Amino acid sequence: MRTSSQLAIKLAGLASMLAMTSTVLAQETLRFGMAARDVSSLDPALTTGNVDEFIVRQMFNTLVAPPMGTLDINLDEIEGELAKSWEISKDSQTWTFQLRQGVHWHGGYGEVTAEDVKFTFDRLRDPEVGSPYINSFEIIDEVEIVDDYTVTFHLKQPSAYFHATSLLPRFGPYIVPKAAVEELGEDFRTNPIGSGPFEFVGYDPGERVQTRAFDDYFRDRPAIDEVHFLLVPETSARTLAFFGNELDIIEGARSPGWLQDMERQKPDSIFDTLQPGSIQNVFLNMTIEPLDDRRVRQAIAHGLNKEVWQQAYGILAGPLWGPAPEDFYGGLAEEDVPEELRYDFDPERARALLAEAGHPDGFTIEAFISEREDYQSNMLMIQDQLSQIGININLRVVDHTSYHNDINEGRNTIIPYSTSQPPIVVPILEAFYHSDSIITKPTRNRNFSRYGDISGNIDEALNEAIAETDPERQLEKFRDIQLEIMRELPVVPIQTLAMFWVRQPWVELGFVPQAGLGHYQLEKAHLNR
Amino acid sequence: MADTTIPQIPLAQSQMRRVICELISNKVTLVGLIIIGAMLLLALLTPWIAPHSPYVQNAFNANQAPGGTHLWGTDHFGRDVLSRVIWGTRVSLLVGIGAPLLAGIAGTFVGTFAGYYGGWFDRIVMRLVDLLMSFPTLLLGVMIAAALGPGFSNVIAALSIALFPRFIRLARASTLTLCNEPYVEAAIAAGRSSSRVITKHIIPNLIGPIIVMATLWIATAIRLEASLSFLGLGTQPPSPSWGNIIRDGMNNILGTPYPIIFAGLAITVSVLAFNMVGDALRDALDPETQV
Repeated sequence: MRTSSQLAIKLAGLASMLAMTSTVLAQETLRFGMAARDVSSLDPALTTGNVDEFIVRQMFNTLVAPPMGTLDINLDEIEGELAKSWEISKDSQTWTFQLRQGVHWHGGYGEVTAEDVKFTFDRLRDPEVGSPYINSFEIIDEVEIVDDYTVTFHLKQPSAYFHATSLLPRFGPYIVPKAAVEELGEDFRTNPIGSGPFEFVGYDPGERVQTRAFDDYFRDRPAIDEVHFLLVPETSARTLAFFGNELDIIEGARSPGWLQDMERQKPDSIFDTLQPGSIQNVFLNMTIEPLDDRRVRQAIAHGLNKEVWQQAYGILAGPLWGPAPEDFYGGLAEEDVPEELRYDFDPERARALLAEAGHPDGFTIEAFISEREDYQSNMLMIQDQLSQIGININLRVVDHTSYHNDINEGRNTIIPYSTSQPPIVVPILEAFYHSDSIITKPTRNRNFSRYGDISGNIDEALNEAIAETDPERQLEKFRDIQLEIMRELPVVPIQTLAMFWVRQPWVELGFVPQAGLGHYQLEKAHLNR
Repeated sequence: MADTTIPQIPLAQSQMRRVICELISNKVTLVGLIIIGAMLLLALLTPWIAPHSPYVQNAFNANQAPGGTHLWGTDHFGRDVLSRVIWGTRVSLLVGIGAPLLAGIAGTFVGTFAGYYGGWFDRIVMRLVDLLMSFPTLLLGVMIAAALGPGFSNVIAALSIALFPRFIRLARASTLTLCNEPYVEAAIAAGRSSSRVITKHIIPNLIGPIIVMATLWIATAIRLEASLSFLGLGTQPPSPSWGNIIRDGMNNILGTPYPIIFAGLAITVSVLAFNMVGDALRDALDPETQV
């Protein structure tokens, strides 16, 4: 009797195990291989890298966003996420948003209200919170709660593109729940509570971040039940896991030839590239001889063959004709740039310019570069090409953190730099070309070339362009400023380098990724195994 | 006083001849010697032997498989892999031979003095040696290279310092043994100066084991240089070394493994060759293995 009851219990246990297994098998899990050793913060105010941002994008919402897979930021094209509708005052200084009703926070923290929106932006602007994105929100004077579902932003000055600089899903403006942030405090970094399509399940440091579909999501519940973000920093390990079908999507390696190799090795892979991705420039430190001579800078520009980058990076490379790419609001397209300011590849002209500047045999210059793959590859390509016009770069490779520390102290000469920016020209011009941003000043930002104090200045013109209310005239002013910069050439634009991911043929995203801010959403994704 | 009365026992010419005969007569050792000889030739004649420049990039010809004008293919910058491996031979041999040589010379002198004079100098030196030898050589090399900063000459310095204590210990131990030999005691009793005893009677007699050890450490030094360059602490790009060729090729290991295969092969073959010759040299010079 006792034996038979034990057997019954065992059988029941086995049956329940099988039932559990079948449930597990029935679940759709997407395994995502990220190129990072670890995440640094899942609190949107404190993210530091693209991996943090990608994961945060799946768990949080902003007020507005470009249509999925695009970077369309015109006001008539952007879509509401948490905002249902919006109104902008005639002078563009007051922006009022109506929130959707019935949007729930994960973890039972109630409904998303105007109080959460105010809390989010007040928190981002609070220096004690230490958000690295605080500058993007400086323009906000006050966030006013009109009622539970209406919130008004009063700006310090008119801005026709406030949404583009401060509200899009990138680096900061994801709405967070006041109650959860106050309750969890520091722990919010690793226990994020959002309103997005996926809710946080767990985090294994250095291993993975686990999320699952949020049943009460205000749009359709995702078809995928769980998304596991696995942290696989080694490119070869990530690639092998992808070949072995252990990962459904991996972050691609932005190194020359990698994409072409993948296409050869696994032809059924799908490549999703999001232009413009990173803007890659070479800044020239104009305090150093002979880079203080414009002819030498022009020689460098004529000595670099952009086609080499195009060839090395294939579909990842995009054109860059000036400080901001053409997809950006106010960016430069090829037809905007007169031929003499395009600095086409012309080694003969480069050598002639060097001779004119008193360097008929070229010169040798010391420089250092980050060991990070994209930085080092770019610098080696620059070094090789410049050696052919007589400029020898004595190169030293340093770790990535030291590189940034040292260029911020103004120590380098030829400075390759890769940056990801909101899709508008203003933050780029302010950060890299305004004289207040010169890296040796207390108000410094990232003006590595010292443009503004040396060889030209755009400060006044930029203020005028920002204050311009007529969009056509404003775009023209932005273009003129950039052409002025290209005349003085404190920077040689190289390319835009797309962010990209490789996906297995059975993963459908539910939209076509064309452009973006370094991430895409998985809420419409499904698996056709 | 006449100075020809005391016999010296250095590597006499007849002994040298015997060692060389012994090395050549063993086929395995002969293969090792031929490989080393070929590598030395490659290193000396690099600019004339390498078919292309190791630096010139060609993005339009990147990641090519072996064949055509690029016998070992091209890397992700379109540089010729064969030429880079040949130029890498020069770096590897310079570090591989240079580091043990410097460590051997310095270690022999310090070890001999410590063993001969003893006292506080010996105690301090040996405690320092104990301290340095408590770290694995690679770790010590990494620490020193990180402190000195990356670069070719710094790698030689780092590896010399990392290998230095091993030579001190060997030289000291040999000196202690030699000091009890009758011919050394006789030299001292005959009033020879300490420096003369050391240079004429002790160092010539411990040079055999030191050479064997240096030969064995050449293989290790080549491996360590490759490791440091792989970690980014050694030879700096765009200069090629076998280690940084492998490092550069890591991202494209699945699609274009040729740089890694050929640089890895170069390391394996050279390490094997130096180890074979080192072992044979040890057998030939160590009296205890003589039957």
